[in-house]
Amino acid sequence: MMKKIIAITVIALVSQTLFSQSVFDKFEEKQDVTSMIVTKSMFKLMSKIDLSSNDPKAKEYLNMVENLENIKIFTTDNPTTASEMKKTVDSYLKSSTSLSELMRVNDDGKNVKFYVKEGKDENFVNELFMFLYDELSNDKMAVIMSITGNIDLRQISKLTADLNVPGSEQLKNIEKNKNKN
Amino acid sequence: MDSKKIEQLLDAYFEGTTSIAEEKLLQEYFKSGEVAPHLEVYQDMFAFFATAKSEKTSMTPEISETNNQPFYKSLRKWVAVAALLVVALGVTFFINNNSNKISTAEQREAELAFEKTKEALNFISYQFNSSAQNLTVVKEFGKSTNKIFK
Repeated sequence: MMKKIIAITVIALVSQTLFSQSVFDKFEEKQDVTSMIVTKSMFKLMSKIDLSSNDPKAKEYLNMVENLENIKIFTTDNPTTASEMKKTVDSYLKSSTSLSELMRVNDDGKNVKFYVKEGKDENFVNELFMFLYDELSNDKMAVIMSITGNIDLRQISKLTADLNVPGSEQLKNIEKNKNKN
Repeated sequence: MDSKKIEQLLDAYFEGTTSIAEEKLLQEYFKSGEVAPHLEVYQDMFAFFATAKSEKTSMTPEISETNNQPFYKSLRKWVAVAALLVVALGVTFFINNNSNKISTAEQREAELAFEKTKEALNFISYQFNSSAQNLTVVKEFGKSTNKIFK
């Protein structure tokens, strides 16, 4: 009896993780969805070849890329598909216990959610999940983005910190405060 | 011995179907001197065979068995080893070449993927930072309302 319960639990857990991995893949085949999936083997190939390694900026990216497992992006400009994505994301986030909310911003109808899966320490996460939903936008109505691997959030933030986004300064402060706590 | 039998044996001899005992019989017959007149033409031939058989050379050909044969044999062995080496080297080189060398098509693909990845990372980074900016706006709003409702 006990064995059966254990077996059922294991099967349920395994099938759930399998399901959660392929939950967004159904969008890949849709016509009005632009998708991009880069896998670990591609990242490996990237780090093997000499990609303008004199450029320090490119090197920064390469260092990040080396620690990644995969990147998945699904973008759509179709309202029906966008709402379908929203539903899928909502149910995915509900079913997934390992993802915790990082931040959620609603700005003029533009809804952005960030979720992370805890990594080895505070600055590293194993998964960075983003969902952007914007009913008023006409090119990126919904964007699902999932990055898995060993991701340094500070580095992610740093990539566009030079572009003068005021928030990045605050974000650094937030992290400092977080470290204090 | 009657000449009829000898004739038969001769025919067989020229056909190459005689046995060694029969050939000896022929030899002895022609050696004996009592040869039938119509068979005398073969007498010289058999006499020549007999002398040719007894001929011996006084020279002894120099074949140093101890040296030559093993050298030849070891040469064969070394050739086999060399061939094996060549094959092994060829295979390893081929495998190395295939696994390590990245074709230009692969390189182009990787570069393209790298560009896309960069774009994706920039996009998420931008969203990350601008969302964080919005959070601070909310914080500012909280500050100002606090001022009013103090």
